[in-house]
Amino acid sequence: MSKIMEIKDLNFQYGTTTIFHHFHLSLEEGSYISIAGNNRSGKTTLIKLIGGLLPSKDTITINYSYVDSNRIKDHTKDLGIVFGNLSTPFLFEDVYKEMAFPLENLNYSIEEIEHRILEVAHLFKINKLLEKKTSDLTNAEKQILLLAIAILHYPKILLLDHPFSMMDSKTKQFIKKVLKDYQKKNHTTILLTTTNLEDTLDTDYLYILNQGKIVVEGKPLVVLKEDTLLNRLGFSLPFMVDLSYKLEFYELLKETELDMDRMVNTLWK
Amino acid sequence: MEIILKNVGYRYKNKKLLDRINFKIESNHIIGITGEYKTLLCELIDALKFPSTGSITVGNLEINSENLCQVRKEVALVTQNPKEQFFTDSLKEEMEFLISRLNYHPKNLSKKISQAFTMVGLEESYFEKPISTLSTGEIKLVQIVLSLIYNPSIIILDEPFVELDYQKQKKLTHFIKVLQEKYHKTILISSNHINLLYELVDDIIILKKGHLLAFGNVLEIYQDIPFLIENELEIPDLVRFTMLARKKKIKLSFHRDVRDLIKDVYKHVS
Repeated sequence: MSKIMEIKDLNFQYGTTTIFHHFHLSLEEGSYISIAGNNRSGKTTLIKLIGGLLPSKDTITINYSYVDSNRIKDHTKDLGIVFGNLSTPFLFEDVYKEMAFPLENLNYSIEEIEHRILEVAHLFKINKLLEKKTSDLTNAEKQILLLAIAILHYPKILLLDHPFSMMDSKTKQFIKKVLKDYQKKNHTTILLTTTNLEDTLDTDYLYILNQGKIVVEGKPLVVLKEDTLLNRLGFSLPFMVDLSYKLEFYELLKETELDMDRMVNTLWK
Repeated sequence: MEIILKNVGYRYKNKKLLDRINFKIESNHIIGITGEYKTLLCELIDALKFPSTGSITVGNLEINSENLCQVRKEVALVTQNPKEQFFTDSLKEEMEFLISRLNYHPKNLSKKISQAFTMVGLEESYFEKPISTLSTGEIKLVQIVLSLIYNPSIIILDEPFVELDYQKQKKLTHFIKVLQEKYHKTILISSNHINLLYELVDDIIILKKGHLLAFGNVLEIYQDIPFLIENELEIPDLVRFTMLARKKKIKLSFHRDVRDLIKDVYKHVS
């Protein structure tokens, strides 16, 4: 596997507030990586830096070429970025136009555009939204649309900044599965940020970011074993992980079980 | 302060978004609102929008175009994107604008301000910070501070937990309880976060397809499993666990705290 993105010795500050100091991170191609951190830990800033929306002074490379705001055009095709914060996400009134716009910019033909929009709409089950106005969508629908738009041009890297925050858990489960299947099938590299550790469970590798520094990293379930540290940093364990660890502590369960049906079946055979 | 909705409906582009909504919210309760068009319902109670049919009464005021200011002095709405609510970058100017608009001129304003900061657990130095330097969580708290200055009886929080990390969520839920217990406020919380609502609120309003599907004690509503399944409602994790255990004829009770659940599980596993 090759490194698709690499950050070497990144330093970044807003005014006099230092956000990153000698920061390093790299992404293997085709991996699904999550970064969990609290508000103000630097997550959104990191996504903006990698996306070339903030100057990184030649410390970040994508496919071995530097990302920096003035050279970002080279990377447009490789990147799909979603910001879960919905303050001003859309340019157009019509959902369809909104989806077509980025593809028009990349010189897709009208037929290709239509084909691709229908394909992605089918994937996320949002065909019904195509005829709607962007302003009439619910917040959860807006977030789904943002994800759909981000993958339209088959980007190599998806940068997702708390993309599920407005979805109820049923919707979230479905969208996460769509995303994971898409990622596997297309060998896409995903970097996901979140405040909610539950969102990290189906990713390959988890980094815990605190005040611009990575404090723990590893496979999600291994990192979550550090519950004392995570509690101190202000995280809550996902419900099923918490329940499972507690039941294990009382020797009611032998191993971690994340599926509630199976857990109940193990407890009462 | 009570809130009474009588036969409230709201139309938008010939579509009934809300239809025949009736309920009475008692004072000093924490009420959750979940389902479709919950933000719209919040806006109607804050008199930001008027119902197409029916009436809304807050305390002894039936909302109409003449008593808007009086209503808004009693009802504070903390919106989903508080950043968009501010016109300037200075909290002080925002406050001056707010109190002049509400025609509210108390004698000891500075005392009221510092009290409001104490209530939410923020330092008073936040008053001097430019709004653009605050995080989303801080802005939500600051907006609550602003509304507490004119001491409303009802506080509506629209999706307050979105984008807050766990620590801030915990702080906010604690603060909501303080507002209820110590300051006797009525608090409405609109949220999709059913697990949080289940652990926090007294009563819950469930909206579905423009109608009031259920309104009542949260524990009672979420014990009625056939009702939840029939209406395809999201079931809180704690409830689902008891539900699955009961399917196996295990007599587990419904709990609102995971520690109580574990104690109960311990009793039933031999």
